[in-house]
Amino acid sequence: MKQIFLSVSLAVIGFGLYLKFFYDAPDEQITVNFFVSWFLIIVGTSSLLMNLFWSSKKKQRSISE
Amino acid sequence: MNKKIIFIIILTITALVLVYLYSFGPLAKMRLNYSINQQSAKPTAEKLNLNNQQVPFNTYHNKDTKENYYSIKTPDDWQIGQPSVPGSYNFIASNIIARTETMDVSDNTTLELYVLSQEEPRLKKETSGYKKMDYQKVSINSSQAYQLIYQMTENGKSNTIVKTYITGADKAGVITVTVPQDQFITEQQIFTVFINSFQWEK
Repeated sequence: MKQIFLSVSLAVIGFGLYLKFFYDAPDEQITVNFFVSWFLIIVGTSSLLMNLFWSSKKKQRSISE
Repeated sequence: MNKKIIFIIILTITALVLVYLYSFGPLAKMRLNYSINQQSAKPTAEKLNLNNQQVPFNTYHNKDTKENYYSIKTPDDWQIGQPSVPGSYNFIASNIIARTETMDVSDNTTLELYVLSQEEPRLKKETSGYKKMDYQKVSINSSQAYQLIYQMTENGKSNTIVKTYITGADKAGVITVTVPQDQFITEQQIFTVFINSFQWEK
């Protein structure tokens, strides 16, 4: 489950980076492209961090038990 | 819930609100200003030979958007206005208002087809008293260009507008020159030099 969550987070970040740096958005869609790319990068990064911190807490619990 | 997780959620929401404000809200203007390269508004001076006279000109090198760098020459008495979008210039002279900008043309069409099928009908619709005067294919510094000349009448005042669309590797260059109808012939030489000075740069 953790692996799937990590892969999805990385895919979201990757897609955000693609939109930010490689996708040639038409003039009228530049603002939307800016918003969507940053949205994906932020959400992807935060879900990745949450996953890492959550699992490290679980690990700590299992070590203490 | 883990304190770190709560902190990440708060941070994420804050970042998303900032991105929204920066995209669509009151901070959007800051983003546009950031995209405008300050060097683009600093011209280099030179003299051009017009009718055996050395006329001082300014050369502007626009470096706002990658793959769309270009230069344009203006007489040194033309005032430069505040650019509204990256890659554009607004110039004001005594009888001439000029604007240069870049325009996106979708990959599934050609510039000429776009000008004739999208731009001209749009201008006809939006311009009061639109009257087409001329349309021609020209070459500007080895770039294929399409020039549309038309008249507009507003509040009893007639202006002639010369709109030149120049093919480029990524976007097209667009030069718009507005001259009072009665000044068109007298100003023609100077704005023709201005239009023909457009050059794509690397």
